[in-house]
Amino acid sequence: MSVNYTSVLWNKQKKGYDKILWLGILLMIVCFVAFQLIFHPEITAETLVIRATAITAFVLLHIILSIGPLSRLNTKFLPLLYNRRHLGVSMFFIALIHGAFSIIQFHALGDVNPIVSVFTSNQHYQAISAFPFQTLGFFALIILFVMAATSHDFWLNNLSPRIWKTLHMGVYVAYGLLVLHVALGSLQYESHPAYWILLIAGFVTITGLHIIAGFKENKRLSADTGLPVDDAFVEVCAVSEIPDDCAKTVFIDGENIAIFKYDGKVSAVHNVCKHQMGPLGEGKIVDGCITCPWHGYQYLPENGQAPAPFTEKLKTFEVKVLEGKVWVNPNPKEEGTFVEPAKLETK
Amino acid sequence: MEEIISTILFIVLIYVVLGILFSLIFIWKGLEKVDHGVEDSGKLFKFLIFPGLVTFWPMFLVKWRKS
Repeated sequence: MSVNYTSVLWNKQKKGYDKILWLGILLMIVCFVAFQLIFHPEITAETLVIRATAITAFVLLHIILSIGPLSRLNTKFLPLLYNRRHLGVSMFFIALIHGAFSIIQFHALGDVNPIVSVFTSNQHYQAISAFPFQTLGFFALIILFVMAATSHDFWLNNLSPRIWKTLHMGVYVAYGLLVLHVALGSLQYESHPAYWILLIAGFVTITGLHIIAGFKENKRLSADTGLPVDDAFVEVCAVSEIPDDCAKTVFIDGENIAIFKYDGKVSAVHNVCKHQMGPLGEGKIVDGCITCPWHGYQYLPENGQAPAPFTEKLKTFEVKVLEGKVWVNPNPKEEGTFVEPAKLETK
Repeated sequence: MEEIISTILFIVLIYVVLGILFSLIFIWKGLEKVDHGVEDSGKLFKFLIFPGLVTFWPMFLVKWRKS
């Protein structure tokens, strides 16, 4: 949140996350190396490094791309989302080792500049079986570098959330390039169908999860049209439909609204976190504050303001509770405006 | 092809060298003027943002001049 930056805001969860992450990475590399040494005992150390880092980075990229849609489909996956940027930066460094070793091994031994050699040693761009797949990996690595280099909150503030988010959507371009890099590269030399099956299964899983999560979101948005209206207020749901310290999210007149129930009251704020546009309505009330499920940014439910000394503010909405039903006025108040919470009716 | 790639790489190299020089001076003299959140942020933080500064240095040059 926007006070002074620190290099990494370490806490118990982040330390645990990183420990599990790096243990997992080490385990994956060790298993792969053991597998290679058993089935290809003639393999060189350089090739072993190139292959082990390639498979590890590619698997990590699949995990990274799965976390977003999985979290939208099931909140049990939200803890994985919490420190996803460390996962991304770790993946970049592993991919960088793969790229550096590959360039050294295959392009640094001639009299041409190794980077120039990546683009000129093979120019069969019209062929499939001999396509210069290295260039695809090179551009993917550039995208991953830009994303890793701008992963700190400093960049979110200085590039603006919209540009930052757009830049980081580049991960999908990188993924596409890497699928082609693998398909037109190493898989052209592997005869076993298991490699193709794994690549296609990964691609289908990633696209399938995104499509299913998108359908779920569209269903939610379309369900919010045609709600009863009374004096600018729109009936949203029964009070009982909102679990304690949680929210119901609605999309009315172009406004994405999260309605929270807490301490016998109901308040409504804009459903998008100021940090990385996380879905606040999927978060909880923690210590009296709406807490974003993505990175823990907090806001007071009554006025949408981050607690001092932080300065982020959300738009707020008027709410009322009548006969056990929650009504919201979709005309937003200025960011940080106090709105009296609706008191829950006591029986 | 080789000439085109070499020329592009040379331009990128100049951009990166200028970026490194600018970023070193910017961290020393301009960073706190452009973003007040940087005050007391530590050396590790500056090290972490350095590759990004080298990448986006023209944007910070404009911001620094405006500040």
